[in-house]
Parts: sequence; structure tokens; C-alpha cells
Amino acid sequence: MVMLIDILYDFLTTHVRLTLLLFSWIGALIGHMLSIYDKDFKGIHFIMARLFPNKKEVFYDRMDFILLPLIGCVLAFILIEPSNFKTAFFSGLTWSGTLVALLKQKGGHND
Amino acid sequence: MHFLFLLIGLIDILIFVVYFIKGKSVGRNKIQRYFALAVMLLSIVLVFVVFSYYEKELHDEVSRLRDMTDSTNYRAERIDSILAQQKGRELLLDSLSKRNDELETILQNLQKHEKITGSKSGVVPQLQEYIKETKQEINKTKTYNEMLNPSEYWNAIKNGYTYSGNTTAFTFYPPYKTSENYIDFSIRFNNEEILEKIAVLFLEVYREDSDGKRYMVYSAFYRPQSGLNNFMIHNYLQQSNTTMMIGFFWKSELGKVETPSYEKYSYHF
Repeated sequence: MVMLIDILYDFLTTHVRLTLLLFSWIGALIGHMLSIYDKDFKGIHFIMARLFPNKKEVFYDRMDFILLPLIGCVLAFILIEPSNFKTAFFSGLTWSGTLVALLKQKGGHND
Repeated sequence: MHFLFLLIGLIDILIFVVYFIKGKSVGRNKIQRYFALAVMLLSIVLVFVVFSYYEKELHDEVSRLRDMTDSTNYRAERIDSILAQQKGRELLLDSLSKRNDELETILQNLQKHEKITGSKSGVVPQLQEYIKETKQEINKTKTYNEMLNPSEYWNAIKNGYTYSGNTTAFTFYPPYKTSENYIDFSIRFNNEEILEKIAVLFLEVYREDSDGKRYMVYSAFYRPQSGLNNFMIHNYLQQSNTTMMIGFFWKSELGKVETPSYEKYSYHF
């Protein structure tokens, strides 16, 4: 276990940009996960439903889960340019939250 | 700390996988919903905690470096006096090697912690300089000739030895600094093939009084080596009428003839 941690630590500190992107993505994922507490939030279901009609609800949830955090982390990484692991994580978290809020405004509700 | 972080990370991955498989229906179960919420919030808190931990580690490494470097002065007289003795050199080499290893470890840790925290400690260039100086000291200490037990050789020259003029067998490099308490100097053999025929290097410092009598002030025997032969002795030459002779005895003569010839070079300030 100690060796695994050492290997992980060495990897994270050697590939810094990749690690910052990874932390940004994890922050975005956690931000997205918090949206499950809003039953009415549908994310980008309305876009996915047009592109891939007649799919199960879980399919759209999965597309949401993949795309929204990905967009959030890329935007956060490019716009905020985090310099350490903490800011990378919170930049992903906040951008994900921003996207969620924007999509709520855009009528991502199930009307 | 790392175990906790890894554990929470693994639980996070598990929750992500479950969410990916079940979709939003995972939120319908109250226990699942609140467990996921608790883990997410714990992850957020843990990022703060781990980051603070590494910031503290960075600060601790810098303090450790400052403690190490403030307590040592390589050019102190006590180091020079240690270098003038064989046992002292061995202990010093050991101490320098350990110091070098510790400095390298601090450098690696500092560089990693700086990457994680994104902050610069400002001491990495200075630390790299310390490591370079330590390595130079190690190399310099290693290049000094090994001092030999004089009792093995005094018997061979108890009746004296003969010499005339300065030898051309080696080139003498005088000390750069002549006002310090200890002086370094070197010799390099012009033809290293003669090293096989040399029994021992002999250094003698003597003072000549007004009557022309000579008094031995210091002497030592050294093992010859290829390349530069380096020596460090107390700066006796600061005293007036003091001369140093550095040279060698042949294997074919030492212990075999009554007064072996001393191939030497004389030097004084």
C-alpha cells in the first residue's frame, strides 16, 4: 500500500499538467454529483433527446455525467489556469456548479 | 493522511461508477443520497486538509535545510585540521556523504511539494548550490593522498638520506593561499610509469636557525597516486627560515641502502 502511494505520488508530481487536469475533472465530477439532489434538474437532456431520441432516462443521465464535468473541467483548466492541485480541484468544482446553474436557467427542467 | 485520502478517493470512484450505472435513480434512496453527499463533502474538506499538510511539509523542509546549513562552515579551521590527518579525512568523507544524501533528499521533497502546492520556497537554487559545494568538497577530500603510518618507514631512514637540488620527476603546484592556517599544495608526476618504482612520498618541514642547524618541525609519509597528489598541512611556512621538502624514496633503495636518496622539491614563502 505504501509503495502504491509512493508510485502515485511520484506520478502526480512528475506529470503536473496532467494531474492538474485530473484534479479539475474530479472537482467537476463532485460538483455534478451534488446536482442529484435537485430532482428537477435535467442537465443537457433536452439536447441529448434531440440527438438521440427514444432512449432510456439512464442513458441521458450517463451522457450528462460524462459531458458536463468534461466541459466544466476543460473550461476551468483553460480559463482559470490553476497552478496547484487545490485550485485545480476547486476550479473544476465551481465551473461545474456554474454550468449546472446556467442549464437550470436555460430551462433544463422537465416541463 | 495518505491512506485516508486514498480511501476517500476509492469511495468517490465507487460512487461515480454506481451513478454511471444507475443514473439519477441512485438519488431516490435516502441512505444512498446522503451517503454520497457526505462522501463528496468529505472529499472537498480533505482536499483542503491534504493541501495544508503539504504546505506545512514544504515549510518544514525549508526549516530543516536552514538548520543544516547554518550549523556548518566548510572553511572553518577545524575542517582543515581534520583534513591534515588520515582518520579525520575518513570521518569527514563519511560525514560529507551523509550530508550530501540528506541535501539531495530535501531537494527532491521540496521540488515535489512545490509542484503540489504551486508555491515556491525560494531555496531550491541555493540548495542546488550547497549540493554542488558538498560534492566538490567530497571530491577534493578524496583526492588528498592517504597518510601512512610513519613507524613503518622511519626505520628505513634512521641513518639519514641524501639529496641534491630539486627533482624534475614531478611538477610542484604551490599553495594559492599562503596566509591561512592550513595550506594546500599538489604535485603531479611527469612520467607516471615511475610510480611503480616509488616506495613512499615523504614530506618534511624544517627550520634553520642562525647557526645553520636544522630542526625538523613536521614530517609525514604518503601513498603516491596517479594524477594530482594533494596535500594539506598546517601553515608552518609562515614562520621565518622555514622550508618544506616534498619528495619520494625509491623502492630499490628504501630499507636496502643505509642512506637512500631523497628525490625532493624544496619550497618556502
